[in-house]
Amino acid sequence: MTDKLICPECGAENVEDAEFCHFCHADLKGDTTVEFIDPQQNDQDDFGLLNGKEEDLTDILHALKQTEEEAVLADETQEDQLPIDEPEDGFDEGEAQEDEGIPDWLHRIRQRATEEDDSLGEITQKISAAKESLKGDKPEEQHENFESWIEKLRGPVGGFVNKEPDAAASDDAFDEKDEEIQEKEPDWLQKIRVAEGKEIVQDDQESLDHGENSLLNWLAALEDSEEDTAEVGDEPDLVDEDMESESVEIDESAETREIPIDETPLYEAIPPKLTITKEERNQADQLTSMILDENAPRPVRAIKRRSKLGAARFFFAILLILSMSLSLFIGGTTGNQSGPIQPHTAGFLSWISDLEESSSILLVFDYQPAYASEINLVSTPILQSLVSKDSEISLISSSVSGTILQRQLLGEIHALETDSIVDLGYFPIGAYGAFGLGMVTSANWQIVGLPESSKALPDGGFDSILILSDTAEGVRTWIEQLTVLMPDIPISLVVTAQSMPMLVPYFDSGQITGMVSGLNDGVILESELSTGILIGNRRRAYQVGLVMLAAIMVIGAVNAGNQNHEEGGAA
Amino acid sequence: MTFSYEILWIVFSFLLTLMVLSYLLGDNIFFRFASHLFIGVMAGYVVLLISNQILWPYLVRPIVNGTLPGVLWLGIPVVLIFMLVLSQFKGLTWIGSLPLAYMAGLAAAIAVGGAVFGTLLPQSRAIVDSFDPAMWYAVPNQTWFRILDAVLMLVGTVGTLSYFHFGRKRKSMTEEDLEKRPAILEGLSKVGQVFIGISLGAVFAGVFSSSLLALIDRLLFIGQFINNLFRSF
Repeated sequence: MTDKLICPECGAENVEDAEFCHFCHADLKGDTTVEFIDPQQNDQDDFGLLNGKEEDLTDILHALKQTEEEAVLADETQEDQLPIDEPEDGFDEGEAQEDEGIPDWLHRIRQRATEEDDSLGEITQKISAAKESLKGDKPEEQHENFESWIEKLRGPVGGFVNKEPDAAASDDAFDEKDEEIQEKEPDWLQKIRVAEGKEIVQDDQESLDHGENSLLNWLAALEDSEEDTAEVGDEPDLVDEDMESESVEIDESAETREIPIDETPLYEAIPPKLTITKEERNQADQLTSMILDENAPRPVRAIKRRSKLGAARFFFAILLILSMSLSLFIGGTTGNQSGPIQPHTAGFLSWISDLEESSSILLVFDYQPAYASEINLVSTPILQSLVSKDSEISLISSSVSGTILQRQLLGEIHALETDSIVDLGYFPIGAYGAFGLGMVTSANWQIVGLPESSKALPDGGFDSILILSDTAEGVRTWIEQLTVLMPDIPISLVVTAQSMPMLVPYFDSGQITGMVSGLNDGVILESELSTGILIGNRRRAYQVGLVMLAAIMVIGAVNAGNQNHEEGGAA
Repeated sequence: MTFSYEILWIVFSFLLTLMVLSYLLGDNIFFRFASHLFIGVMAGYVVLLISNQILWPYLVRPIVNGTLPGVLWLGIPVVLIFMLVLSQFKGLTWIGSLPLAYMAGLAAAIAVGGAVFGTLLPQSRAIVDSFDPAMWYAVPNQTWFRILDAVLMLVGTVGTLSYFHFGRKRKSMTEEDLEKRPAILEGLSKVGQVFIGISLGAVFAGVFSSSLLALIDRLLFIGQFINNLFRSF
């Protein structure tokens, strides 16, 4: 302890006989020297703790706490001899006397320190706070908490030391040295050593430093491990498996540094940070809304009785059948009045009228039995006209039932008995059949050794092609292949009414010479070709059926509109 | 005997017709029986047809009676058929890839070639030809009608093609622009919708027409059957 002059202006230390502050050049004359506490002599005073490292603060506090406990025990023994109020009064008096003896500048500093917390150093604040905590209302509970905290901190250190194989065995050997060292050490340091436990191996001063440094190392390792754990937790895409693998890596690194911590890594106790991406959040929201929607109460929809609707449907169906039957069987077969002739119908008529005698015609059957009545109705007068011209007719079926239908159709006009009809059989898959037929007919080259078809095609090819089809797609396939492979051969069509609108462009482009479809064209053919087939009654039933269907559709539409309106009003 | 055989088939046809028409009362066992009967008969008929019309005349008989070069040529389809059959077994499905690839490639080539040279080019040429003035004046008193027809054909074709154009703006400023077509195509597609609607309406009317004709044919059959039945008594 030396005498120093403290500058009242800046607080700098000056030598005892200095007249001016060496730092701020303030006048130091008349100032009183103060007793300066040398930091190097901290082992002589409790204030020497301020110079210790902050990491050892807990142990130091523990030592202070034990000192306080001893002091309390001593006070308790004195309390038996003194009155109860004396210590407090004596303490106040001592403080008052102390205040009277201190210089004015120190009093101001203390006053400023009490008013402004920032004026105190950090360590001083911690010590003050620790002292205040020790003087709290619940010293026993805090004592227990403090003890447990110290034990928690001490545990890894002791554990680390215990991992040394020879440490436990050599405890007795080092007892004498311990006593000698303890005699040389100050009291506060011995208290700290007692507080840290006797298990610490201290064979020499080096081991002592090692024991002191172990706590520092442990704290540094603890801080590093927390940082590593935080880094793991910050990884947004890690799942549990990744987290486990990451934990293993961290554990290995901890062992390589020989950090004496618990067997269970500290970072395992920290739950992984849950990171949710925006997409996952949206999916979760959708799932939640779906679950809520499923569980939401729904209004019970009244079961509609369909008996009324079924009865109405049955009534209209019977009405349609009866009206068409009456128009079919009552009224005779007169009244064939053909409407305006469409260009494609006129083209067909001109084609069949220009057809020469004994022409070679390819007849393609590409329709299903459901449309046989419509196709047969239109194609019967045509086939009669062809047969009457002694045409050589080659038959091809590109539909499965074509072979049956062609026999039915030709049987009705008694054309099967003639020798001018040749059945070329079934050509599966329209595109393949058309392509194969076109290639065989038009190709100027042949593959050597290729087996010939059992059904021979006409030597001179075909003069014309007539396609009977119920679908626009089937006709288009034949047109696309034949117009390319056999562009000079005219193609005519007999199709259903539903496929006719899709095939008109092929007539406009000149790829087909003519086309007939439906009942109207059948009536025209009947009147133009004068085949004697009367279809007037069918046309009348057809017209009645169209009117009935239109009426039923209107009624159904109105009923549906009213029903929707009622449901909307009810909702 | 022949007469009885024909009568039997006519009665059977009449009953089947009534079974199909019984669907007016809703789905019932008679309608299902007739449907299953038709499907089963058609399946069996297809097997016999292919065997009799395809395999025998174009494969088996040429192999049996043909020359060696012909038999070698026919070995190619035989191998392909054998591979297709093997592909039906578990673990050998990969064997069927070659014949299926051959068939798919051939079908695509035929279909694409036919569509381009049989439909696309001729139809485009027809539209261009419809604006030929010689065509307009070919038929007296129909000049304006042909011009109108040509214009309608052009607008309908462009509009329909625009409707099936699923592009987007080249420079999309907002996300909504990504879902929009260019303004010209959007307008033409609206026009195309009108033409498509008219075409589908015509097809729908044709379906009604064909169905009515089929119903008329069946009604005629039933009427003639009943008429003949009463006449026989």
